[in-house]
Amino acid sequence: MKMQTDKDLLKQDQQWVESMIEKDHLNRFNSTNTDAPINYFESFPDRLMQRIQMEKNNHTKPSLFKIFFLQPYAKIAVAATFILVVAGTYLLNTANKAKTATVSIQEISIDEMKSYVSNNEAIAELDYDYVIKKENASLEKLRESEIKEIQKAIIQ
Amino acid sequence: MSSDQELIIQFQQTIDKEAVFTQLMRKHQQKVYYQIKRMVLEHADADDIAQLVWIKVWNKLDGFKMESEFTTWLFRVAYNETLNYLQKQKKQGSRLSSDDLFVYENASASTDEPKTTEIQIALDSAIKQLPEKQRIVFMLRYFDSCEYEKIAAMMGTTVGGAKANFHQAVKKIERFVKKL
Repeated sequence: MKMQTDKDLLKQDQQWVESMIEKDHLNRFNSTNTDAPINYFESFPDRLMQRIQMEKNNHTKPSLFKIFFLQPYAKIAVAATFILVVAGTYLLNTANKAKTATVSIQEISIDEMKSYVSNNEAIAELDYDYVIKKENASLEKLRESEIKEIQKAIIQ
Repeated sequence: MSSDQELIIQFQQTIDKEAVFTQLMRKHQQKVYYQIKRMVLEHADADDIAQLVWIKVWNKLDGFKMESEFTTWLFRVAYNETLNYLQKQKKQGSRLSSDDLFVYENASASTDEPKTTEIQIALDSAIKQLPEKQRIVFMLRYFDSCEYEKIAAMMGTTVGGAKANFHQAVKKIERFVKKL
């Protein structure tokens, strides 16, 4: 038996359709749905290239909204990074604050004291009083030479 | 004229992609447009979808590996984009009906007898009322004389599936036309 070729099968299918509907009607349907406005195809490539160019330009601008279109794992990664940055900044700040609060008068060098006193005479005196009272420090704890130097700096 | 394969290789290797892409587009734009137009029937819709299709092709062509024919891939992109578009339209409520019948009435009223117009409108309605897959297979098979293998590759289905869709489409059109 002879094998039916693709062309034979196609012809059979088309004849089957035409046995129910006149070919004229089918052709009219086809021609009505396969027309385009005048010059449509001439102008289409230029219009499209313009649109592609426009979309390219838009894509180069970073958008915050892009985050909403990320995959779930990427969203988690972005959230984790954000939390790390915030937490890191907070910890660093509190650590710095704690460090400044624990500085005692013994840790400050004479040179630093001198320059502070010369720049802020009035406030420096108040600071001395405050630190001495707060830390319950006594002048005996300071070396004699250091006390003299402080006194000298205040007088000057 | 250069073959599709030559144009694609040029596109993938050159910096001036626009010129090569325009050449490729000019070669296939009509077929793509008509395939879409037969599915959506309105020019404005077909134009929108055609643009989406070519933008997708522009974005993906660098990675095209020539494992399938370019036209098969192109029409598959067109098919998928059209389906997405139709599904979005369905959600918004169908708007194809009286306007399209009016086009047919006007097209045939001047030259044909009333019965002819009636048949034409019935055929139009019958084809429009087919489920998308059946309608597309019918169009590709009857009007474009596509082989089932190609239809199956374009639509991401099997040859058997494509054949079944064509058969069901013709049966439905037959029932519709017999009512007249």
